[in-house]
Amino acid sequence: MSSGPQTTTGPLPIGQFVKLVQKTVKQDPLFQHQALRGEVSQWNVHNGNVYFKLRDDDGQLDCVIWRSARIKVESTIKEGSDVVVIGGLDLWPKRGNLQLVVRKIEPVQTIGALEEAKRALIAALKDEGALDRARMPLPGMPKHVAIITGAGSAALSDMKRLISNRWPGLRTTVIGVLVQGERAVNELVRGLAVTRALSRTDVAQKLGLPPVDAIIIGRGGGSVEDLWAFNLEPVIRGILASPVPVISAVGHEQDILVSDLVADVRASTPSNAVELLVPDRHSVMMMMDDVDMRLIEAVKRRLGELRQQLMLLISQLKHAPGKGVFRAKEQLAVLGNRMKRGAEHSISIQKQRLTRLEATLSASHPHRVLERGYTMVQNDDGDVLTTLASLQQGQTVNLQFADGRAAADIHTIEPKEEEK
Amino acid sequence: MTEEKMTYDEAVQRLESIVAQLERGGKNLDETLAMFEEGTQLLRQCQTELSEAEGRLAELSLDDAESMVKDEE
Repeated sequence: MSSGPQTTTGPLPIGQFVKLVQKTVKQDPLFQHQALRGEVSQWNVHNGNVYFKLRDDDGQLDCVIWRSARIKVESTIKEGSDVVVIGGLDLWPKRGNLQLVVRKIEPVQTIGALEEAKRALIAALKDEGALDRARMPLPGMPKHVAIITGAGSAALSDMKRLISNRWPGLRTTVIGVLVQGERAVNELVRGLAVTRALSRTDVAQKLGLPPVDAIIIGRGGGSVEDLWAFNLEPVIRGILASPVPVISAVGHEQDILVSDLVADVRASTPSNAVELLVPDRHSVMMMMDDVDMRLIEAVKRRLGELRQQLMLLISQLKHAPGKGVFRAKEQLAVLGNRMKRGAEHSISIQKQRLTRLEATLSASHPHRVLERGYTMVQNDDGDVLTTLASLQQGQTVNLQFADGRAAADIHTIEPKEEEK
Repeated sequence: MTEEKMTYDEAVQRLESIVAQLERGGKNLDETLAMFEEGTQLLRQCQTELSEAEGRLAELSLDDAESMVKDEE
């Protein structure tokens, strides 16, 4: 038995072994897609690559952020920062040490830091009067409700069930968004932008819908961190910018969220929001029927009363002539007498005037003159002849006396000297 | 009555006040009939508004919702 270079059971060259380890590590998803939390130490930038150690009380690991990976590193990360990294293990055969190749790194905001930011936001909102602003009342009968909440969430099914119990077929638009995690803020803000558009009459009209007139934004309960998006300024600004009332509907008990402080209405849970907003169809219909009946009954009763009053008046008139009527009759009689007397008086005056006129007239009548001895000369036609010029020699004229007439022939015509 | 259309809430409020006034009585014939007429109209308006709330429940993803309003804006 002899050993030789061709044996395969001899010791493995270290390089080969390290490469074997490297291969194993790189193939195991457990080591390749891992989120790790720890404290940053020995932060060191070299040629654009960042080297640091991630550590906690029980262990530590070398980490690298390759420049070529173009990873966004927040400027707040520094020595001692509490961070979460996502990355995969690698082993550098030449040096034989394990290191974590970082694909993502983010600072862990401690609840303390978050609380601080929340307090600052509340103070700022208070300063600008957003907390004391006049709240919009919820519509008595919403025609188009928008709900921004987790797609497929339990909160959404609760709300849907409650809506169909209270007002089956109520027009509702649900916008499914992420309500927790790093994308939650962005999605909630975008959801609010959509509802803002849907509340515009022109946009809604083009979609063949009535405009959104109330918005529920919320989610079921969760840990303080899970609910944190509802404390962040972009979401708060979105709520404040809504032209229609917004209900903040986040399921939680202790902590007040900033969205609760600025919303038009605060609901304790998503279901509570539906209860506050959606009327119960059955009771509304009963109320309408009741009002309809009361309206008709009240008018009927009043008309009955008025008719009775009228009947009473008529019978009073029939059986006991009112003072007024009696007096009116008297008055008429008096007036009639006065008119009669007045007329008689004016007639007698006219009569007297006529007698006087007669006397005057008779005084100037030709007969009166004839009676005094004058004679009136007329031609055959009855014309009164008053000058010689109208006479001719031999003409027969009529002489009119008071007691009769006579015919006479003209013999001579002698005008007066001065008349010639 | 104002020319501008009342909201549902205003209509219900006015309706209730009309019914209460009519129930109190004492109005003359013209007033009674005018109030009845107004009340009937308000009731009709409310019922119309209630029926206008009937629609459907649409569940949209954020992307779909955004593209829907974007097309119309």
